[in-house]
Amino acid sequence: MKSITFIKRNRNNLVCYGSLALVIVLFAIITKGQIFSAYNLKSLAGQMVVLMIISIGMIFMFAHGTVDIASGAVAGLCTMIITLVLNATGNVPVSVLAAIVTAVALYLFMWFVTAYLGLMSIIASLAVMFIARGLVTYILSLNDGRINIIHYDMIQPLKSNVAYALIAMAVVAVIGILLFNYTRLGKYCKAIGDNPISAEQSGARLKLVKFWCYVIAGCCVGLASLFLLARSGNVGKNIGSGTEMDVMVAVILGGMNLNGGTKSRIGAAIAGVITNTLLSNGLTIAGVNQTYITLVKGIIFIVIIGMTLRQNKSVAEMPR
Amino acid sequence: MDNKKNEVFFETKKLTKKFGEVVAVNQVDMVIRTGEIRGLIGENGSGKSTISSMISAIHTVTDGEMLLYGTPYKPKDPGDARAHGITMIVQEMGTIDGLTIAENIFVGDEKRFAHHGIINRDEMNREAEKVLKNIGVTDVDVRKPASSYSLETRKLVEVAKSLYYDPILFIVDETTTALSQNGRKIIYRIIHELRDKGKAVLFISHDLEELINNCDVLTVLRDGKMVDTIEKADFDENRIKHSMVGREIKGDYYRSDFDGTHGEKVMLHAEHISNEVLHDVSITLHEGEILGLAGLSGCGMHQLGRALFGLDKVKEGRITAAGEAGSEVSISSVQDALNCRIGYISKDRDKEALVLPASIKENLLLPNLRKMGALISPRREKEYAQKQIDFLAIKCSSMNQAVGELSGGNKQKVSFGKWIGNNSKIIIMDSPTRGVDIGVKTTMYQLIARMKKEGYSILIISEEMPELIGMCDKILVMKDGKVTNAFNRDETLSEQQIIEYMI
Repeated sequence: MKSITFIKRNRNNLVCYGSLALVIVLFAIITKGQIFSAYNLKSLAGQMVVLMIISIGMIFMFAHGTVDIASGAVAGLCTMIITLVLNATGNVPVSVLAAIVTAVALYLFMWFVTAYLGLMSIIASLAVMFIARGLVTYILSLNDGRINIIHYDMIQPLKSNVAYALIAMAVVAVIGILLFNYTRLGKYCKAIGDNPISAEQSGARLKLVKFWCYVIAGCCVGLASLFLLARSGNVGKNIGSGTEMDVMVAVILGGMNLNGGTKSRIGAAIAGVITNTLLSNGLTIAGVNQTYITLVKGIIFIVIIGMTLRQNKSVAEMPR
Repeated sequence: MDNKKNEVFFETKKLTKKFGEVVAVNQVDMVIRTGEIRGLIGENGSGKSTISSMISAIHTVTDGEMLLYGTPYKPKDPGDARAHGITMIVQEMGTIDGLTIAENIFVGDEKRFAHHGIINRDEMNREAEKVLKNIGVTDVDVRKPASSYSLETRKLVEVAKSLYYDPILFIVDETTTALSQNGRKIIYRIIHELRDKGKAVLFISHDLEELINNCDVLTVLRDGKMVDTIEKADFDENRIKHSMVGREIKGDYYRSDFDGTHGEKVMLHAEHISNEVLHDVSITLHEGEILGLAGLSGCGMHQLGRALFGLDKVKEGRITAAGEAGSEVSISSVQDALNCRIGYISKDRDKEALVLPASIKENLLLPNLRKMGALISPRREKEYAQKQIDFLAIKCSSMNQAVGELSGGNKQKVSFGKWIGNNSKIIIMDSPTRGVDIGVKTTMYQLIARMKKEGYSILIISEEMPELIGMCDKILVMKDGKVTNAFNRDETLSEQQIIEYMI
């Protein structure tokens, strides 16, 4: 009886670390340890950096009850901004700053539409997704469908030297953990996800808290786009697309409930991204055909959703 | 079926309905005879609608049984209840906007117009017209969608639909509030006709006058229990009111002193405030004072509590509170209220006061986060939460237990703890003892009395008269958004004196 309550209360933790452990053990056996070779660990870090940074930012959105689907398109637009600014100035920090400003501006637009015009947040993010994707397509059409980076050598090390990726992930993770677990912002954020009325009556300023969540999400997307660009080498029309779905898959694998609330954990992003990346990487190393990988991932995903999102039978509502 | 008059045909025996822990209807024994209009009256939450919903199978029965003509009656769904001759007009909208009036009348029963699987619309429309004509409604085009008609017309369509099935028991659940005088007259005429035909009507309303004029027998409910059944000959407005509102004072767990004095310092002050609900309300709360707000649920006292905490906007007038440095601070938002150390306990504990899935610790900390600095140490959180849990003797397995798993009384202790812990000096309590048992009530009252001694200023908004009389230094009575009278603490103060200004 006690163990059942324990499982119930820690279901999300169990899913989070359970699936991570499972994936690690499984692929260690299947690939005969190859997955943990020094070379592969490096490539894993490179593969997960974009998703890791964006997912950590998105936890703040999911936690307060917003499902954002614009991150991939906004990241794509940001790679273009970096390229254009970098080509014009030859200065990496300035171009990254420009990308972050762009991403934050787009996220604040979503915040404004949601907070002041009363639209559902997912509609706002859908609109921004189309705007960002549309801008990329339009500007590319003016440039024969592809923009090359004149100073690619300046950002190429981000791809070749894995230390940059590791440092970036560590810094973002530490800041994310501090903000989410040890500040008012993170605590309000979780309370709002469960019960905005109660949070407001306890002193949380709903719009202000959400404002900062959107700013954090924007910063993460802007920063991640630098690594996205470094890895792809040029801006194509599909750059970044599908990232938003990978983010959702990752945080759900990490045991996050997309409805947000008090059970939200920043660890879901970190562990989830690692699980997700290991899963794709391990399946590839194990020699699974690329076509099946998506299929297998889909099946694993649905199993894990079944374990985490299944709601307890709710108590009947009091009438009137 | 036999339609003799005055024959017992429907009975409930110890009928009980629980929603989780809350008992909405408590062991009600009721007898309905044919040829009578039975009125059901009681305050909000007294269980009127729950009883009628069980009879018409909208809600399931938790315990006890219902008998129809002496045999157990266990309807599976509203359609089954209809087949047994019981139909109901609900409080909310019962028509579907996109469908035509005719389709609405025959929804779920379209089969009768089907020929080889195809519905004959002309036949359905003709029949619908006939049904409406039966209740005297002729100016409705049954081919038009329901949404093109007024609320009143749609209600009448529902009535026509219910009557079409020739019910033996016709339940009208607070339908008349939505209707104009004209629509009401139609309903009154219909229920009288039904009675004269030897059918029974269960008529639920808030309007005492309407019940007295139309009913043959009145059943009074309070807190889910049946407290009185009154025959037409004994109808007396005062008697009905008293059995509706009056509660007995059980034991002396209130404040024992009758010392109504308090500090001189004005802590919270509203001057001539008005908004959609409130009309020119002024109140003053002093240091160490327990002020009570009495009234019926629609009188605006709950909204006054919200306005004083900055939750509801005020159109005219001004609300001020004593600020930190003895200054007067104007309150127009929750932030202002919190800066003036005002706390607010909502009457809707589960939906507003607490974050149910969050832990006790998280809930207790929520209003205090503003004062815990930039980085909040988990150790300080634990110390803070443990202090409140010990102080209020909250029964829990650990501070990390979800508040939603606690009992009503312990939940309420958590919502008290939120504001006591963060050093609030003014606490607005809306229905602080709603849904908690006597034992916890006693603790709450002792706590409130102790808080007064410690200099807290407390505003208690309550529908429970004995609680206000027992606890408050001063009671303001509200009606229709206005303060109608004020009573100072006095041993001789009775419920009747207050009720006079409420109704």
